[in-house]
Amino acid sequence: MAQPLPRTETTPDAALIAAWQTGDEQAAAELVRRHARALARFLTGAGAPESELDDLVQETFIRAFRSVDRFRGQCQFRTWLMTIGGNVLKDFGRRMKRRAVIPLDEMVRDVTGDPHELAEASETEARLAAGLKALPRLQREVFLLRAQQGLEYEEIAAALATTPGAARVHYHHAVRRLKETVK
Amino acid sequence: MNEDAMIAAAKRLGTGPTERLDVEATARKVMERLREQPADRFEWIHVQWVRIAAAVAIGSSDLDELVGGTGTTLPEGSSDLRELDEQQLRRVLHSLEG
Repeated sequence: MAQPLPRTETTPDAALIAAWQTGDEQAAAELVRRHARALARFLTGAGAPESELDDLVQETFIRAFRSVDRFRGQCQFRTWLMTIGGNVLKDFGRRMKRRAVIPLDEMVRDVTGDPHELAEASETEARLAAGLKALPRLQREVFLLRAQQGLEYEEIAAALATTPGAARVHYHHAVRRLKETVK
Repeated sequence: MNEDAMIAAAKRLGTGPTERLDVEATARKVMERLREQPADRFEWIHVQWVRIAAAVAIGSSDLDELVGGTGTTLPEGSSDLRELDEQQLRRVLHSLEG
C-alpha cells in the first residue's frame, strides 16, 4: 500500500493523480470531493436526471481513475472528467432509449429566491435544458463547457481534441440554434 | 432569449441537484466500487475499436501501429467516429500518418 500523500486544499490535482497511480485511495477520494459538484452540474446541464446523477458521477470517476494513465495534462483534470462524463451520459441515454424517455419535468432546476423570480428562472432553465437536449452532442458540450463552466476555447479544444477555432464555431452554432428554439 | 440570459441560465442549471449531492458518500462509493469491480478492458477496447474503424475508413493496414499508438487524438472514451467533428477526424487521420 502506498504511503498516503500529505495534502491540503492547495495540493495540485497532478500530485493527487500521481498519488492515486501509486495506490493512494485517499488521493482519489480527494479528487472526487474536489470535482464532483462541477461534474454534476455539467451532467445535469447535459440532460442527466437527478435520480441518476449520483450514479453517473460515480461511473465517471471510476472510468477516469481506471484510465488515468491516458491523461497527460493536455487540459485540466476537471475538464477531462467532463469529457468522460459526456460519454457516460451517452451510454446511459442509450440504455434509457430501450426503456423510457426522460420526462422533461426532471429537467426543471431548483433555485432559491423570490417565488416569482424562482418560477421565471425555473421556466427559463427548463426551456434552456430542453433546447440543449435538441442540440448535437458536441455543440451541447462545448456550450456547457464555455457558458456554464466558463472555460476558454483553448481549454475546451484540448479536452475535445479539436482546435480553438472549431470549438468557437461549435459554441456559436449552439447559441444560434438555442436562440431559434429557446424563445 | 439573448446570449447573456442563456449564459446566466446555463450557470444555474443543476444548482439544486448538485447541492443535494452527498459528495462524501459519492467519494466513498467510488472507492468501494473501484475495490469491488475488477478493472476490465472495456474502455481500452472502445478506443482501439475507434482506431481500427478509422483505419478501415482510410484503407490503412498497419493495425499494430494504430492499436499501439499512444497519441492523444480523441476525446476520452470516444467510441463513435460519427460524433467527431472535422477537426477531430483530421487529428485521428493525422495520427495514423505517423
